[in-house]
Amino acid sequence: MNPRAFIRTPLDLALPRDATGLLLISTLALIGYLATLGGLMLVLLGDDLRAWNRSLNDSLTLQIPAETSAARIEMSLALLRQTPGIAELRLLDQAETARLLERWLGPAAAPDTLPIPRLIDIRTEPGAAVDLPDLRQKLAAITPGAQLDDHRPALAIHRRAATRLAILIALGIATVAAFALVLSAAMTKLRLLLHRGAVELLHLIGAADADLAWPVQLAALRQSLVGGAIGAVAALLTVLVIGHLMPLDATPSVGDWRLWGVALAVIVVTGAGAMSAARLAVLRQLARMP
Amino acid sequence: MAVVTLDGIGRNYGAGVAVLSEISLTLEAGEFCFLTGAPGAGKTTLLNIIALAAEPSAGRLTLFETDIAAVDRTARAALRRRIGIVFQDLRLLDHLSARDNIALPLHVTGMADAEIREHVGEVASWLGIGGRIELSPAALSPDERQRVAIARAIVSRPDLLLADEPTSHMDGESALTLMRAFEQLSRVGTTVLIATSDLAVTRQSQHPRIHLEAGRLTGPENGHPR
Repeated sequence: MNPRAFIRTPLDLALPRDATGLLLISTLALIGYLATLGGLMLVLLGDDLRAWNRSLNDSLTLQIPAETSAARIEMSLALLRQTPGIAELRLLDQAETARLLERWLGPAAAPDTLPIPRLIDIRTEPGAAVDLPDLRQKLAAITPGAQLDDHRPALAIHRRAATRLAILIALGIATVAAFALVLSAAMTKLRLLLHRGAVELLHLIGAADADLAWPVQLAALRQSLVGGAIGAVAALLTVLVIGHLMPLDATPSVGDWRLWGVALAVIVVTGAGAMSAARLAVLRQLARMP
Repeated sequence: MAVVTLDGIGRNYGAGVAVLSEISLTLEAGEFCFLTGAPGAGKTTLLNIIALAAEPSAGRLTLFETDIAAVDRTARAALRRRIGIVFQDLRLLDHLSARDNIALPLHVTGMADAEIREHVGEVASWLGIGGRIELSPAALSPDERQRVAIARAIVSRPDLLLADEPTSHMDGESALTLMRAFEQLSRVGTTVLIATSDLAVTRQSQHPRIHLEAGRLTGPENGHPR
């Protein structure tokens, strides 16, 4: 097939360009922007969830009162090392603990001005069922006031919230996708109405329905690819700029192929959907002619 | 071979108002025939039915020995490609040049561009508009626009040519030249049916005339069509 015939066909020439093309491009650009933003949010949300899982799912924190003696701390560490299911321990030094607290308390959180508790970061073996009530009891016997924090209940709450958010985003994407299909069909009908004379003429001189549908669906494909690409690239830039201005743990980067994949998927799906909707619309309109 | 066979064709509009009633007619290959009648007699409606632009309300239409009621839309499109039509309102597309307007039926058949240029050039020269086909139809005189519409109807060498008032924008001499061109087409096998109310044209011709009056055929003059 001649590649030019894919871009414009002779019958396409019989249907002049009009404002419907620009309208479809601009509206699909907006839809592509929203869909890409939604897709990118799903990817980044997934990254955040995985990061939370990694950092919190298999971890516990033991908080020991500031005034506890080194000997008791050492005994607590020894107990933890002997506890089945615990893989790794790390006693944070006071400077490191102060840095963690600095986020909330500011630079005043210095070890020499505040009674800063000692923290032990505990990594459990993946899937291990540590007997926490028993461990808490034994630790309290060694170091009164020690507090063992389990992050999993909080993580479960975050996970549920993130899942709800992901479902809402997916529904939003589905809604704008459905709107894109309806819009493409409506623009096709409008275009056929505007050029009814030309369409009837082509029909009467022997153009088959499929031949008449081809230039219309090609036009819809061209316009939706342009609109989708504008929207997808704009959304990608938005996310990258926001990521640059407000860096988080999972900051999006230009080199992340998944972001480009989302943008490409939106462009391809927009093009294919708009083309199919246009084809159906034009065939339905033509079926009304004798 | 019978190119057109109408058997008891009728057409109603709205609440049963009959525009055509009981039309039966056969046109053979290469036949040349006028369809006459006063405005509103049903000439355009009859041409539209034969051109597959309108459905009859009653009767049976056979084109090229194919029963139209028995064929699907794709086959109908193929039949239309064997028919050239000169519309009463010309139906030229002003955003295209006269050349592109004439070329449309050839594009529909999928002919190669070089061949299309050759065919369009030939037909345009034959009809005396060879030097004007790069212009938009809007820039042409009524006579030239009419010739462009005729060129578009005949450029694909149709087996059946239907013309609705093809001389309405022409002076007497041009009309006679055009009739001679249609006769030449008829001689090479094209069946020609011309709807006209131009008595000057029909009087100077020996071709048969079928007359429509209030939607009914009142019989051929000069013989042939049954």
